[in-house]
Amino acid sequence: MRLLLTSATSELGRSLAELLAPHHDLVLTDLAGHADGETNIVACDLGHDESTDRLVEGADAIVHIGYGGHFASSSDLLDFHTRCTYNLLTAARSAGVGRFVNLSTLRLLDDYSENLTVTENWRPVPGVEPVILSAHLCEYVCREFGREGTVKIANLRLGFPLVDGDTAAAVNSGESAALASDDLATAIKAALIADLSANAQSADAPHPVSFRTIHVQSPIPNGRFLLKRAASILGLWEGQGAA
Amino acid sequence: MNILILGGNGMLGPWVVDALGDRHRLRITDIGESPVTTHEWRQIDVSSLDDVVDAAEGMDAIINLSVLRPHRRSAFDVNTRGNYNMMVAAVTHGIQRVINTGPHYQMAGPSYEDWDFDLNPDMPPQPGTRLYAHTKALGQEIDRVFTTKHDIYLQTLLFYHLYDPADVGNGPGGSGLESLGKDMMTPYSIAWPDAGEAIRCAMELPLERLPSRAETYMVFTDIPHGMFNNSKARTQLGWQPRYHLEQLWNKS
Repeated sequence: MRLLLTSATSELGRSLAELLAPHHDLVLTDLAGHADGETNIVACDLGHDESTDRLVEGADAIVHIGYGGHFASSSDLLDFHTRCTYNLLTAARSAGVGRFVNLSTLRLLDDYSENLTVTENWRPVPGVEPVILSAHLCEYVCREFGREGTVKIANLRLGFPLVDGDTAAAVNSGESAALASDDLATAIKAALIADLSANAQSADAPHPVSFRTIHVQSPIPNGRFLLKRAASILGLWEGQGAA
Repeated sequence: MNILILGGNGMLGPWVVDALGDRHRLRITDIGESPVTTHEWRQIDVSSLDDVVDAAEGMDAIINLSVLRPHRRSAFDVNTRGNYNMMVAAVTHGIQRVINTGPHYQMAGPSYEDWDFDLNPDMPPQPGTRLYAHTKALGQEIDRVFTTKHDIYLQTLLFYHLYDPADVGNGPGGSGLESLGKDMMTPYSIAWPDAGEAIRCAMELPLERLPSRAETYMVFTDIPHGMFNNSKARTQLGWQPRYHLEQLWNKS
């Protein structure tokens, strides 16, 4: 599978590239200001021009970092996560890219008390900090493209913090919402091919579901967020995680 | 009140100034040229955080009339980030009252409008991906999120087709009989003076009478099709349309 990864020079992008490279034909891209001097990175500012169309040409799927990429000013964060994401999705839709995986964050639900059984059906409660607000707006952009169909979008809300290693490393971190890098790689691989309509209310409708939010944190005992859709859509961690 | 108007020299701006000008002190701003006005004027770019924060100093309220439709970068700069800048300005200066405006389909996009009736302003927004609706909807969402974290009261007034009441039938739907029954024109129409008056009603509504810190209104004249519902604008704002634009849907 030919896979395009955005914000590839960010710390998260570099980690993901390392995790995904063994399994995919990976194309790495970043904004020109970040890609300067980098080899093997396609510089693209995700504008509404031919360069974005060329970027997505031939891609089977796109993994888009919708949270936790580059540090930037509030204006640049908002611009990247709204306009650039819109341009990328527009190009992806035109090119017939079959799958778009947006990497968001479970911090959008951080205001809920830890004792609550927070699933994907709970409304996000973002703050106004630019990094969180941008993640929320990035989801908003994706959702509207998903509503119109064509591009199938898996919106993965990632646990925090991200820790190197396997599930045991997440358990050892002592953080109830931790996500191990191995579990993240497993979830992304599954999201690239998953049937997004699995267990949807409208699964029997003639038009397949084209936007699903899925919580992705490591399946640690008494984990903070429930992983029902990770199990039902991605086929991961059935019966594990939060009780 | 001291009121900052963003995008005050566009199409709607002069009507809002007419409605408010004798009752409040206005600071009119726009990226374009200065209007002929006795009110304070500043040329600013709403996509500049510093411009908007500076312009809001000493104000009691902000009205956002700024809008940009066709160009993708400018649309996001103005319709989306401009709202972020406005809300940061409100927080910075302790401004409690913010009035935002936009087209009805930033809330009721094609997934509503092509299917349903009695569309009302308390539905969850479904703008779709059309550039204008999408960017304005993102702006409205930014505003809403700010009201969840700060003591700011947001009133969003949604308009669409606006008419000079003396020239109904010669507007975008064509002239005379040609305009009759053109659904793109009739479902959501209002006269310019009534739009300005609705914003005055919103501005002068005591904040304690607002049911929440984020209220939205569909503002159009009384039209018999039943697709949209303007009752909230009437009951909550106390607004009444003066112009009914019957020529748009009456055969004679």
